Parts: sequence; structure tokens; C-alpha cells
Amino acid sequence: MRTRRPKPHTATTRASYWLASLFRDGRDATPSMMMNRYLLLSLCRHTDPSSCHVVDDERRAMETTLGRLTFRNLLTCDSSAVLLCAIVQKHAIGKLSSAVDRYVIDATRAVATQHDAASEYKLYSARYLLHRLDRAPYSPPPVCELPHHPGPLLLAGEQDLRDVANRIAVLTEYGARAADIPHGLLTIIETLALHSLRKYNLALAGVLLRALSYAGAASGHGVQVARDFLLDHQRDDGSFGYLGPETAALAQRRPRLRPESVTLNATLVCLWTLAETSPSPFSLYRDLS
Amino acid sequence: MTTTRLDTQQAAMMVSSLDWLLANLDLFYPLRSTSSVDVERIKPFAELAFLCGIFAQRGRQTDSRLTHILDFVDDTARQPALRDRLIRQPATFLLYGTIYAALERSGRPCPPERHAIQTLIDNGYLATMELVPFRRMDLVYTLSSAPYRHPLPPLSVLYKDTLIYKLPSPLHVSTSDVYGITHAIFYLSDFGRVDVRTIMGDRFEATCRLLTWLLGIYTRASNWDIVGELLICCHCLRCKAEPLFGVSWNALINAQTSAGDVTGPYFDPRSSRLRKAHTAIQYRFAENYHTTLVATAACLLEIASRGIDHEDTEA
Repeated sequence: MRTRRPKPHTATTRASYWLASLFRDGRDATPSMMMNRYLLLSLCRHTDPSSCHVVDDERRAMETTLGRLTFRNLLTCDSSAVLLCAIVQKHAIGKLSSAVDRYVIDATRAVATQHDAASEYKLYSARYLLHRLDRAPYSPPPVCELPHHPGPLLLAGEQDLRDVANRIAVLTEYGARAADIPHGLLTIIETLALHSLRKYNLALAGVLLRALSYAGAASGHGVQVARDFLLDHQRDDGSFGYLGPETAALAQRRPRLRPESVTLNATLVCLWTLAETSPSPFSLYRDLS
Repeated sequence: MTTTRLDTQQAAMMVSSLDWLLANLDLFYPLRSTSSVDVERIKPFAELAFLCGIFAQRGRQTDSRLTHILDFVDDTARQPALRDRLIRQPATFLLYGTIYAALERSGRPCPPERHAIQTLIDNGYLATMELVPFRRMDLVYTLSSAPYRHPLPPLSVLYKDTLIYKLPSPLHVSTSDVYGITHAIFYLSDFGRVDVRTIMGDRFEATCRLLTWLLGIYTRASNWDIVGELLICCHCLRCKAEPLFGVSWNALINAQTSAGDVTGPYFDPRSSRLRKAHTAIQYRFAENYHTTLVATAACLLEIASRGIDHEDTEA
């Protein structure tokens, strides 16, 4: 007899309580942890509005942290993630702080000057987010080819898989636009997502599952199997992932890094994937403005 | 990927693997001397005999390579040191019984062994052996295929105790679980000779889906032993979902070495045992014989299902 799994709505609420407890001790966090925190907060608010009440100083915390990020000049590590955080700030406060606004202007200039037809689709997420910030006009997704024969993808490396998933995300504008994606490719991506979960590569599985969702294939049996797996891997405290081996390895490599950074990343990946593969049409990039 | 049709590639693969089996036939010989058995070689010998039985079922017993292998199995199985072990060590029935049942299916009856096996069945021991569900199916399949009279339940009933009947998640099954799944399907379908849709009922579609996922997963893992077995399962259920079926076949064909063997999951090309000639041959055989047998069977079943004239498989 199958046991009943918590519904995703409940999973989000439990995760938001865990998130609130994570930063309550006032300990400093790395920029990537802070970025992930805001993304997760936004996700929680969108998928379960009742969860937002557990974070009392959200607005001030976001301003403070984003200001701290710009001060440390660490924002260049991932422009897309930072732009996303800027959107989160704008969404929560209605306007950007001056420090963050300066960065967005720099990012706008940097993206506008880059032209590379071969990898235009790689810049698309930044352009898309800038448009959401009213800093750039809407630009339709660039032409980017998908593999005509998807068979070799089954044996391809992780970077190639991420690249194909990114192309699908761009072609479909994160699920907003229908695109002609071969059924065979989607079948292979579904199998690869399942293989990634067997290897406990939650990040890669998340990328592939979200690509399936953007392509309109989230109702498949394989996606449901994957969703059940992710829900099974939410811990009692609300976080996701049984990541003891990874946390131990990180502690050995980077002892000053907070071990929660591993769990935070996994929790973001799992909730993001659950939200975007749910029956209700939601896309983190598309629905934040 | 070349434009050679898949069936031509499968025929070539089968010829090449049969040649490798023939070249290494002495390593299948299970007797250490005229009176003692090398226990490590009984399993490979039994599996070689089983392959002969599959060929015979598909009307391939006149294939010259197979005839040579079948003669070897027949002559060896009738050696006194091997012949009487079956009734003296009934717990080893699943190995020894396989050999003689395969010979029966291949048109090489062994009346003394038939009598011994029927005696074992009639005295009740085989029905009480402690076996996991798919091994119980193995026992019934062996007894039914020869055939021998037995009181055990039919395969369609035993199937309901197996893992595949319960449709586990593809994210939880281990490699040994998958072996149990593949073997249950082999026996239930008699390697594709029985249409199992009525037996499986509303589980059929989900079973096909699970097998297809596992096929993709194990192709990515380059486990050619499991890939071969899962391709046989796809044949058994007549469920060949593309593109995964074609991709996996191409990957298996490409995994065959120039010598004709297909590398097993634990074969290490950097093993120190490969540095010396005599240990290299033994190591390569031990690690690759099973995967090669499976690949050979997979090719045969696909070729036979398309009704390709057996002359096409001769070099």
C-alpha cells in the first residue's frame, strides 16, 4: 500500500519555516547563500502565500543583504541570479535600492554590448530578466537549435544536458510560448532526469524536469515519479535532501563555509522544480515581476 | 552512426559473438578432471546450454556454429562425472537441471537424466526448495520447458509474487532487483513466445513504461549486461519504444569488441590480470562471457522475430 505523501503546498510551508530558522542566529552567509535564500523566499510566497508571515523582517533583510552584496563587489559571479534577486526586491518593496539599481545599470550595459550569434541563447536569461525590471525592451527568444537526433544525448556529459535544457527554456520563454520540440528528445530528457535522481544529482534533475515543464511535458508519468521522489526527500525540518556525504565533503574542502549552504541549494532546487512541474502554470522567471 | 540497417548490424554482432564463444569453448568446460567438477564453471556451462535451448526454440539448431556448441554441451553433459550429480545434489537443480532441460529442448534427449529429474520432482524436494519468487519461476520454467510433470503452480500465478508485478519505482530498484525483473519476464513470456498482455492485464502498460525507463537508465550507465537483458524483455513484451530502443541497441552493438565479446559491468581494461597472456584470457572470459551470451540471445530473438533467413547469419 502506498503511503500518502504531503501535498506540495504543505511542503512549501514546511520549507519556509526551515528557511526562517536558518538565518535567525544572525550568522553571516555567503553571497550565494543569500541569493538562494531570496529565490527560495520568493518561491515560498508564490506557491504558498500563507508561508510569508513567518519571515518578519523580510523587506529590511533583503535590502540589507543586497546592499552588502554590491558593497563587496561580489555580484559579478552570476549576473542572472543577481538580476533575479533584484526582481525579488522590486516585487517585495516596489523599487530597487540605489546600490542594487547601480548594479542593474551596469548589467544592462554589459549585456547590451555582448553579441555572439553562436551563444545568443546563453545571454537570453539576463536579457529576459532585465526586461522584467523594465531595463530593456522585450526581445523574442533567439533561434537556437535542438539536436535533430537526440539519441547521443543519452550518453552525453552533464554540461551538454544543461545546454539542451537551457535551449528549451529559451525557446519556450520559460514555458510562456509553445515550441516545436521533438517527442523523442523529451523522452530522453525524462529518462535522463530519472537517472540523475538515482545518482542523487538533484541540481541536474531539477534542470531537466523544469525543461520538460517548459516544453509542456510535465504531465508525463516520469515527471510524476520524479515529483514523488522529491517529496519523499523532504526532511522533518522542512529542508530537502539527505546530503550527509556532500556536506561532509564540503566541510573537508571548505571548512569555513556553512554546511547549510548545501541544503539551501538543494531545497531551492527541489521546491523550484516541484512548483514548476505542478499542474498549475507557474514559472519562477516568468511570474516574478 | 552508419546507415547500416539495425538488423544487419544485429546479424553481424551475433556471428561475431558466436565466434568468440567458439574460440573460448574450452573455458566453458566444467570438469577439472574425469571425476571432479570445477564449480566455478558450472554456471557458465549451464548458461551456454540455456542459450542453445533458445536457439533451438527459434529453429536455429542447424546453424553450423550452434551445432558445434550444442555438440560440445551434449558431449560434456553426458560425462559420468557430471551426469549423476543432479540427483545426488538436488539443491543444485537450478544449474544442472537447466543443462538437461536445454538439451531436451534442443532435440538431444537424455533418458537417464529425465528419469532422475522426474524422480526428484516426484519425491517432493523441488517443490519445497526455498527460493525467491523469480527463482521459483526459473524452476517452473525449466521443468515445464523440457517438459517434466510437476505439481508447482503455473508461471502466471508465481508472477504475482515477483517484484515486477508490484511495479516498483525506477528510482529505487537496485541492479540485482533488475535482474529479478528481467528473468521474471523471460520466463513468463517464454522469451516472447507467449503474449503476456492477458496475464498482466492493466499492469502491461506500466510494465512496458518501467522497462523503457530502466533501459535508458542502464544504457547511460553503460551496463551492457543489463541493457542486453532489458532489450530481450522489450522483445518479450513486444514493446520497443523509440527512440530509447534504437539508441540502446546501437550502444550495445558499439560496445562489442573486435574479438566479438561484449564487456561485462565489472570488466576493467586496466586490470593487472590483463598484463599476462594466460590470466588475461581467463579474466576476459570470466568478466565478459555472460554479457556476450545475453547479447547473442538478444540478437537471435530480434533476428528470428523478423523472420530473417538463417543463412544471413552465417559469415
